[in-house]
Amino acid sequence: MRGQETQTDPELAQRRRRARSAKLADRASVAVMFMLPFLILVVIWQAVSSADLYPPYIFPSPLDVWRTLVRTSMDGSLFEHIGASLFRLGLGFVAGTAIGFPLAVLIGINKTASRFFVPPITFFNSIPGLAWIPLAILWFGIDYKAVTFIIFNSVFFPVAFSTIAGIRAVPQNMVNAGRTLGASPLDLVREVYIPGALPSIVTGMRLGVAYGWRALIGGEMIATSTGLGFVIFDVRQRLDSGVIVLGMIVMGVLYLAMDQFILRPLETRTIERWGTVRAQ
Amino acid sequence: MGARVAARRLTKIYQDPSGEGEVFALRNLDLEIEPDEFVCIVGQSGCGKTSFLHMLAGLREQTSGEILVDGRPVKGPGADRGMVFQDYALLPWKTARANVELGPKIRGLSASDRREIADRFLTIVGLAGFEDRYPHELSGGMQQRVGIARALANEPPVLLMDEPFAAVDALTRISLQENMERIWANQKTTVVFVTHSVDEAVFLADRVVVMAPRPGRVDSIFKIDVPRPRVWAEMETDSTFNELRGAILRKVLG
Repeated sequence: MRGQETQTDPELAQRRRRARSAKLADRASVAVMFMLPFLILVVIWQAVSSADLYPPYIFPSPLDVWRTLVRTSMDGSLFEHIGASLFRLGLGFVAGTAIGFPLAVLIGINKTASRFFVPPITFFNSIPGLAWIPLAILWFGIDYKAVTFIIFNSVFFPVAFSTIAGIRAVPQNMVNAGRTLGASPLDLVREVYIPGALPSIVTGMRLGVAYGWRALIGGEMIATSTGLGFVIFDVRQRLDSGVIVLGMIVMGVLYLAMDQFILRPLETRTIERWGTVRAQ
Repeated sequence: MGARVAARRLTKIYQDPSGEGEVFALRNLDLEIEPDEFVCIVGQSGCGKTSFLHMLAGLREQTSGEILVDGRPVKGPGADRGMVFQDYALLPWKTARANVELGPKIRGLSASDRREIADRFLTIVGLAGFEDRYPHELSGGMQQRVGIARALANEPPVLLMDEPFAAVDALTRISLQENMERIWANQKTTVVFVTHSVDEAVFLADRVVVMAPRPGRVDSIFKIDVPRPRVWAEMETDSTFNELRGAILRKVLG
């Protein structure tokens, strides 16, 4: 047996090398296909602006936007606004999750809590986050607090509803198994409900960030004096469309990066793992 | 007193979903089970055997009557009545060891203590070497062995088994039955075992309770005098086994 293994060793190594290079090629293909649509967009953009159909203050060229990027990076104002926006998003997300998640767990496991909390939550869910802007400004002033409140509103509902659905989908026999092992309600939440609902919880958080991001930009246009949303709205009178387009690109890039490198991997990891362990 | 489990005039009424009629899942069931006795309950579907087991577990409430365990009325589930489920009910995100550790963990034992307990019970059910496998990496028979180890790890005075071997193939079933007989001989505890299989009931039990449907009630009780340890190879020619098997089968079929 041993002798045979050593005999086939070179062949095995070769097969492994081939598998590794196939994997690399696949990864390269993913990267290329990821970049390609954006490259095509930039080329079309350049072509349209080169045609000189519109004056640059209405339709800035890629070069105009690049210059704006360099200028705002050098004077630091770009990072100041990005920082302000991300800080609000983070704060709103933490607040929305910190309140939405435990409340959803309670609603998911307790019938009385569900009857009490679900009607008002459904009521407030029907009010778009942006509809809170007038009141938020009255309550908190033109400040990060008003925007954070609006983001909280956008994060809370997807996190809560996804978590409730996930908790309710935990099979009753697993709960019964916990109960016959002497589990208290708190033990059940920790050992059965939360791990059983984890894929739904992560999906809710991803949705929360997506909704929160939209609310953030909308809220900043009106209720603050910093942030990406504020910047692109503020410069409209100065006809500085380079800043507007740059701001929009930064929004897209930031969200894509968050989704691609944090949210999506987190979601696929939990769902894939739970998918295999559930497929019995 | 004296009985480990006592059911007194136990009644469970369901509303008939089709109309305003009532269905007696159980009507005035009286039953006493001694400490360390192995009792199997057989009967046709609808005889209330599973309802009874779930009430004993505290997972369902009776309409009237009472169930006593060591003289105390059952109020909800507890670690003193371990349960083995037909569909295993393992937690799929936990390894075999972590599933078995759950009871000891809930009781507040230290990590090293519960690991020692889990590995001991996994060895007892024949799963040494599979401690780190997830349920989906185990066959149905092995998953149920984990289920048995998990229930035993709390060393409950009463072990409830709800058609535990109904979902596995015939050969696995035989080996699980022989395994269960030996485990019980070593880890004496009171077992209440619900099954559709008369063979299984006679093979495992000290007493077989035959229940009858509409209304669910105890029809008759058979004492099984087949000497232990029991193995299937010897049952074929055991006249006591075969006589009891025939008599119980005739009762079950009504």
